[in-house]
Amino acid sequence: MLSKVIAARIARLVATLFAVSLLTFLMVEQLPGDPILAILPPEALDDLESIERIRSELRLDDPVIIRYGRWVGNALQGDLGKSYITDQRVSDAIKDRIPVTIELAFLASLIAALAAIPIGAFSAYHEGGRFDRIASAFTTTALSIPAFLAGLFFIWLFTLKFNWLPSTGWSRITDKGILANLKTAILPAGSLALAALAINARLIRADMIGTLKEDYILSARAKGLPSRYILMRHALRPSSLTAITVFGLQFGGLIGGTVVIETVFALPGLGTRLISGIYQRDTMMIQGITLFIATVYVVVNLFIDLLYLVLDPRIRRQ
Amino acid sequence: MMSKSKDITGLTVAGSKRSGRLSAVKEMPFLVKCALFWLVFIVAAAIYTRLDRLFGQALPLQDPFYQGFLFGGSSPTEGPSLDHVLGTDILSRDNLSRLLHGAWVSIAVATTVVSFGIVVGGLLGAFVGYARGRWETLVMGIMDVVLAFPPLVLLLALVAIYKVRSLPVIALVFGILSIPTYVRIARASTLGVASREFVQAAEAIGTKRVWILFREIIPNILPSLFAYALINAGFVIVVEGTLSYLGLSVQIPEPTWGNMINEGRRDIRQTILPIFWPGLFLTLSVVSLNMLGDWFQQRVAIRSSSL
Amino acid sequence: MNKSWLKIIAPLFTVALIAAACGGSDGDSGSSSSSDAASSTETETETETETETTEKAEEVIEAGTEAEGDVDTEVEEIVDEVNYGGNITIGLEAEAPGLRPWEDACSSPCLTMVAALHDTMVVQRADGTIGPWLAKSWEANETFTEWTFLLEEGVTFHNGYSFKASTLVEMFELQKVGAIAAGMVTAANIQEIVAVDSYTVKYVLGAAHSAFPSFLVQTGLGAVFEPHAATADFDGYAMNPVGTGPFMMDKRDLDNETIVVRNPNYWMNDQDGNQLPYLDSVTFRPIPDEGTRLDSLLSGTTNAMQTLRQGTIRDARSAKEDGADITLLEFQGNNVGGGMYNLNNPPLDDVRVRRGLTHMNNQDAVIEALGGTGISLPGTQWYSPDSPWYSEKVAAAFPKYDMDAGQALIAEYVNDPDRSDGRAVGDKIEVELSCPPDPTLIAAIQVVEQLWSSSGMVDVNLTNYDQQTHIGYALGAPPDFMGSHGVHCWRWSSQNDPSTELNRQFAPHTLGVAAAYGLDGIYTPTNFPNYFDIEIFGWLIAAIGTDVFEERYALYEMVMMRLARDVPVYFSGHTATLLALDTNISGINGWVLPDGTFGGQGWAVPNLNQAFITD
Repeated sequence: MLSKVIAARIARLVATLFAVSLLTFLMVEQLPGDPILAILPPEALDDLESIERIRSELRLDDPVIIRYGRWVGNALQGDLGKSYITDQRVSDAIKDRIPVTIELAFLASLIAALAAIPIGAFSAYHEGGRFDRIASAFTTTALSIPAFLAGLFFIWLFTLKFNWLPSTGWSRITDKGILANLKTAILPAGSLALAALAINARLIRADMIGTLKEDYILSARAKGLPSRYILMRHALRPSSLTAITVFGLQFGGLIGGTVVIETVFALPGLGTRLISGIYQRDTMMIQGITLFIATVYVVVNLFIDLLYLVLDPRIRRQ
Repeated sequence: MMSKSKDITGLTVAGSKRSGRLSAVKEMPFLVKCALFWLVFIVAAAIYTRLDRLFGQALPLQDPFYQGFLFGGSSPTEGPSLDHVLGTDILSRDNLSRLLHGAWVSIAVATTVVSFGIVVGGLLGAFVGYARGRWETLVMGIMDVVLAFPPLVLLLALVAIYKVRSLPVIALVFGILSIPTYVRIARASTLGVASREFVQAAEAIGTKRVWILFREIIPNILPSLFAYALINAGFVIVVEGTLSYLGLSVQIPEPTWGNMINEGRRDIRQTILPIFWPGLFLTLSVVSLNMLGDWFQQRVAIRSSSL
Repeated sequence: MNKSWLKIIAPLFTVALIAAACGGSDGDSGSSSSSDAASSTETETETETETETTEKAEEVIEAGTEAEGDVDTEVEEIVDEVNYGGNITIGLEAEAPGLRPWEDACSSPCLTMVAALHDTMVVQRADGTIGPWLAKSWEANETFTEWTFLLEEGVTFHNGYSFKASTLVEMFELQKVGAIAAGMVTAANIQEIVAVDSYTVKYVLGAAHSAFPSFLVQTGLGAVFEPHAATADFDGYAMNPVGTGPFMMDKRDLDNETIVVRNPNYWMNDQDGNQLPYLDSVTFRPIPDEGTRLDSLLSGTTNAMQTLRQGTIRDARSAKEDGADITLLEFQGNNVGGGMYNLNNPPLDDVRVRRGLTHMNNQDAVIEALGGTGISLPGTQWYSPDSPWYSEKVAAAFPKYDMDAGQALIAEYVNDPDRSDGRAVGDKIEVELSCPPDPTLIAAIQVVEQLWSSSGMVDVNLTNYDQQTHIGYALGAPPDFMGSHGVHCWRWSSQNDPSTELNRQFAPHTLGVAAAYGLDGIYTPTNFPNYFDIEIFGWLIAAIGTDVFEERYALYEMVMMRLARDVPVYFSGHTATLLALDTNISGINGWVLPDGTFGGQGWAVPNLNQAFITD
């Protein structure tokens, strides 16, 4: 039973990836204009022989289907081609930059999860009370500020006004250690985490309000157990299922959300590479990175789906 | 927004919507009323600026394109003054006027996307939820695929690559990407409604299914669609703001809140104000939509739970 | 298809130019005018702007002296005691993934690294003349078709091979088909390279070129690379170049850092006979974000940084005023930004429209919008006031900011029943103004748009395309390559000999035009404005037939006068560049050639072979 469901999900994953790759490829291939322009500077265009030579080297005249097939075939082997503009292998560029993006997404998810638990829990416990209302206002606002705006505001506040943290740039852990790295990571991760934090807090609150009404909580209270103990031990655990799901979903989604934040903070991650690729019309880079991000997104979603299946006995019984 | 006037027939247990509308507004908590007020202001401003353009800038409103430092009248990044209530931007153009003109882009995109979503997504979801079977599997499968795309990345790539700068096209692309969630909500709602007695009764007496779909089912799923639409509108405004911050939305010199923030970025070391105003407008608009959406959702939940 | 449609054309168009061409060498993040101490002139009211402009223009016209607002740092003799050892870290504008001078496009970051690893045949002095480097001396035959160079002896590559005349012959095989060098070979019309003996080489040209050595200043053609290494591993060379330069490749970590170490067998000694270079190593760090790059210097993470943005220059200046311990080496060369009119696209084919639009362009306001007031000079010709080729006559003749004059000209066109755009009398003219989406250019074109549309007779349509598309529109498609652009952001000029650019830029733009003047087969797709004047062409050809400066100056002045009359382009300020260094780094400003003369600066590319760290 379970294995059937898993198989169905995997099949859907493959179909989705196929569609994503096809769409990405077609989209980029539709670009008007000659890709040769990306490779040769204008004065080199005086030499027609060079143009033809490069065109045949890159086999740019083959029909779309064949080029798509070739691209996908190579991609499955890990070869996403070479940028026409910078000559860099796309997979190398991704490898170079993925640590930054992953750390950013991970930190953001962590902040969103950790900060949301106390906020959500206490709001639920004091449902309707002052803390709940303040927290609610906070979450609504946090949900509404675009991440890039939050980022700009943090830069203005913490760097330009208080001079506590560097505004832009990224210090690799291998370069100068964890502390320097965290200093450059905290503001971007914070901006990214705001919306996720708000969503998580609300979810935890809603979930816990339900749980807190359950009988076994009432009996624990009747027994005289301290409220904090009740909160942490009994109420939080069932909610953790939701939390895990949400954490996982968010992580996958945040990978795409880092794009703008990386631009605001000038971080050397996947997002800035994608954006500069878009500005330069670096077709191979755009295709490769988009496919990569979409794949991560889809695979993480699948993983969470399956995890949820395994963990939640209610669904398993279906 | 509260002016949608579809009659909800057959399900009006808690009082008909029409007569309850005004009292609904009265019931709103204070903050939600403020949110509504802000949104009305923004929509009115957007329409006003359009009219102003239509009449060749005849209405009382500063020109959002006039650069004072060229021909006299203002200088770059002035603070608030009598002439320029919110000051000027880096090219000495009036900030307030640009903010109001910028409202149009945000409102237009949000309205288009949401309408598209409700109409296309709602219809599709209702159909699929009622018809079930192979159609359902196919459509939901496609929706899953569309949902699998990281939306911002895809939108970025699409808009940047095709260099579209026209509002309708951007809104359309947005709309297509938003459809899946509307479909999901519509379908879920439809599944709930379709199992009710009055629908089954109608089927039993041989009413055409299409008729049932349009007369019984769709009107009853509208509230939940609408609740989501409000929240979705907020999200759309944020994404459009992000796109125009990256310079990938409507063409300059047309002001949008996002590109005003982008231009303001240049002088951030000197002053936060050029970023603050458009940021404030953006945030307030989204907060208002979220608050209204939340409130509406609560009412829908109350209503359906009372059935 | 044969190459019949391109023959002579002597292009230069340094690749640095293309990379900078609309790629945003203009400034951004300029500080708000009211708070900047350096721009006190901006507090004057707008009504004074016009008189200020004319005053500034009159001052600029003075011959040969430092123009007002000119910022070039004086070249000074190095007085510090030389020290061996140490490392300096330089913040670059961007990463340069390919370091093959003949094959990879190269702008400032790449030029910086390539120059540390390779030597060129000749170098440019501070006064603009060409001086010896790997080539000790040279002479031409009477007709300027054969150039013989005497080479330095005892020069070895990093991998041990000797540098001889035969090396150049072997290099030529790669250069002939190199993506970058091939165009330059054609432009210089090099037919063959002959190794006369071990250390004498002769370049045989297909046509006279009196300024041929200026082609060998540029890395694309003049950088000496080791041909065996290049042929053995063509792609690998991009990561591991082998030259004769003062430093050798040590570590290459793309997008993070590239480290080069001292070449112990470097051929050059300083004026006192000590072997160069002084430094143990140099680290290059690509830091694309302008703010971060400057911050790195100020915080001590890097010792030097380069920038081509006015906004960053402004920030560096104010940091220095606030007490930062840095030296600023500023340089504003000939490179000038602006826009070109596509003469193939009505109404831009009518000179009244072009002159009118140029008259309505307030260059000072645009420079202010770019954040460059006090940093960039307005442009009137291909040369800055510091250049020996600069002409006051041309500066006076170029259409100045004059709204009334501009409007009168446009009105004349608009009311002309035979107007070329086919519209009715009284209808507005419509132009497309296009720039790549660089944040500073975006501000600038909004200013220009306002200026032009305020006349009430011009409908301006703004567009932004990515750089590739931007160039593509200007280029057009075969067979004519005319381009469909309207008014198109662009950049021109360099420190090099005028012939290296002008001869290509103003060659016939289509085969038809070439044939009409009996110049069959001589045309270039890169005459982007699609402007051709047979007299200009004649003067340009004559200028490479003589090496007498006064004659050449007169010819180029006539060319620029004609351009001031026909206005195929308008300007929005010269490009300012900056090299900012820690104060304890010396030897970069004031580096000398083997003959003791001062070397020049350009493009924010430091020459590192005489750099050292003072105590």
